[in-house]
Amino acid sequence: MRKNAKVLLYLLNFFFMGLWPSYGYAISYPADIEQILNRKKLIVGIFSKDNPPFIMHDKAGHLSGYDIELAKYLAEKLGVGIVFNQEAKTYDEMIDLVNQKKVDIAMSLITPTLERAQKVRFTRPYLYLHQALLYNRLTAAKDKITDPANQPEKLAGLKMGLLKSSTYVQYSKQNFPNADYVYYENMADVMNDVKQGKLFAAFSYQIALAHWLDEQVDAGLYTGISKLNDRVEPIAIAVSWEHPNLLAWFDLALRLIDLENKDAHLKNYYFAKYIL
Amino acid sequence: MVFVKKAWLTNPWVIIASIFLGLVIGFNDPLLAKKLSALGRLYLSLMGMCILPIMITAILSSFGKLLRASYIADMLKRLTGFLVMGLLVTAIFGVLAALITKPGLMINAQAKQLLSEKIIDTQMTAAGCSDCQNFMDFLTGMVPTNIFHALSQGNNLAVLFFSILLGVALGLVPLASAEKTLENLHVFYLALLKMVDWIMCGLPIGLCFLFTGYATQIKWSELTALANLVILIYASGLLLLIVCSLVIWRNSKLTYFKSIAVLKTPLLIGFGTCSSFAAIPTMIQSLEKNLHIERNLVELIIPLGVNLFRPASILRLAIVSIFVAQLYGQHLTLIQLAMVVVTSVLAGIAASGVPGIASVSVLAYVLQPLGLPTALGTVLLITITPIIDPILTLLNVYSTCTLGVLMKKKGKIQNYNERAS
Repeated sequence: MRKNAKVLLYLLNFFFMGLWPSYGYAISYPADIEQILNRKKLIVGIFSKDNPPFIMHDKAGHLSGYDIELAKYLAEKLGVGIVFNQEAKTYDEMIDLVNQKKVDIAMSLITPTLERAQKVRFTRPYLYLHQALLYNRLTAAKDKITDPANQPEKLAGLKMGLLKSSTYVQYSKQNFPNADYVYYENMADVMNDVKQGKLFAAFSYQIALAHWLDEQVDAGLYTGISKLNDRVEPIAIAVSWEHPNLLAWFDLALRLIDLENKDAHLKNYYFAKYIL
Repeated sequence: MVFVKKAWLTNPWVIIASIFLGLVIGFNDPLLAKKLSALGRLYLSLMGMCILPIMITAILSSFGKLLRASYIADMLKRLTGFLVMGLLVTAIFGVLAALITKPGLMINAQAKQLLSEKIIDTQMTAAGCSDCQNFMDFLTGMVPTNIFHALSQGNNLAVLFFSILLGVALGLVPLASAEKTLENLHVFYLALLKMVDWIMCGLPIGLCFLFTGYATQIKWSELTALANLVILIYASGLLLLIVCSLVIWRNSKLTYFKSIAVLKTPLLIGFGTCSSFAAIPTMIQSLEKNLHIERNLVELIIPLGVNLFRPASILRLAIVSIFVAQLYGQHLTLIQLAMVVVTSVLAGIAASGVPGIASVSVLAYVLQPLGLPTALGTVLLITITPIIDPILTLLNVYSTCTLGVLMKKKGKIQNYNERAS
């Protein structure tokens, strides 16, 4: 009996002794996440130029837009502050910044392509955007084009404005092989030239085009928007391939936001009214 | 037949006063106006419920009778002549009026912004409005696949087409009982008119309620932004109304003011309800009783005229088309102007087959051949229609009356034919 009690005591002792060391160690975080937590800041790469209503400067010069607000929300959930890096002049440069780990994530209407996915990793898409043409009404009426985005054969020889190094350079070759492409540095210039009739069409996100149209005073008289049927473009966050845990965290966060519809107010505020 | 039991109910001053009262209520108490305008629409339905049967019985009984008269061919020839002439003259007038006054060049930034916003808004709700119907659709719409379907859908053109054919057939049935059937139809027709008489007793109240609704619909900012276009349409409408009144006066034995006064009831109903169909019964009665035009003739011409002779919609199309060309800075050649005249007549006729606000889609017939965008014109028409509808309906009603009066002059031919046979 006494012997048994001794054994029991021994076993208990063994148990507590076994547990003992864990009191002394801190919970370990994956290195890629820990680095951000230690820094207390999430560095987010965004496009250098405004891309309303996703990324834009308000009159006071503050950044706003859907992507900006969503990034702020994610940083808050991560428990850190946020810094925006606006060095990238092109989308490819933005991918390179992620690849070189100069930014933690890039979040600026980036479309995951197979080519880009060789350099960085992408989260699940947080938006699906429609592609559309902003077209000049007068030219369309003269050439009897009723639905420019879905009549590529009628666009042969007509001038189409595109943003340099955007995914739309590829898309235009797929969708409007016969159009006459003109490359621009700034999307606003493209749309203004469409209004003035220098270009027939601008090819971009339908929401961006509709937002521009809404900001203009009388552009609706001269330009219209035509949406490509059955063409949606996913938008995702780019993360370095060396940061798989960060990627997993953002993936889950986006999934939860989606499930709980946490970004509904952002969508309503920034672009719900522009969706055709 | 007593048309209205209490003469004061259709006294123009009573009606104008009730319209004015309606506007006052509408502007001052939009909440009350909303409730009252629902009653106004109820009154409009009450008036509308008799229209289709009246149209059918009028055409059936009159066509059957007219077929037995020998002058029918002459009459139809004259009718077509007046119809085409009247519409062409209106279109030319509209084009000239817009060319002279240049409303599209004088448009201000505020109006441009308004129209731009409206275009964007309509595109948001109705994406890709490119499926405008062509002339073949108009023809297929005119021939009903099922007459009862056409009746229940209120497809007037199809009903008209069927009624005319049935009227001809009834007139050609060589039986004494066919004559009786025509008589019976006429009895129905008279009974329907009786119903309309009762309903007319509520006219001042009905119009008052309807106008409370109109008052809440008018958006002053839009009205002032497009003031020059609205004024142009009102002025051209008034000019054409004066032309109509002169034609009626010359063809009646009445004094000028008397010749206008005898048609006051249909004119006021047209103006007040913005529906020329609602004015059909009173138009028939006024022409028959006050201007002494042969009953069979009136009963045929008025339903036909209301459906097919609509100078006001052609005036509207012509003016708006020139307006659009001016706004886009397109200089139209003489040939293009001639095209506007012809296409707006065709489009105006085609519009009679399209119900309600959708009828603005026929503008595409006029603008597409000119290589002009249709969106602006469509939005423009939708925007100004509530404001210009009263004068346009008034013009349609009055010109159809004029058509009836002009057809009366066939008295000579009738005598000649009777002598010849």
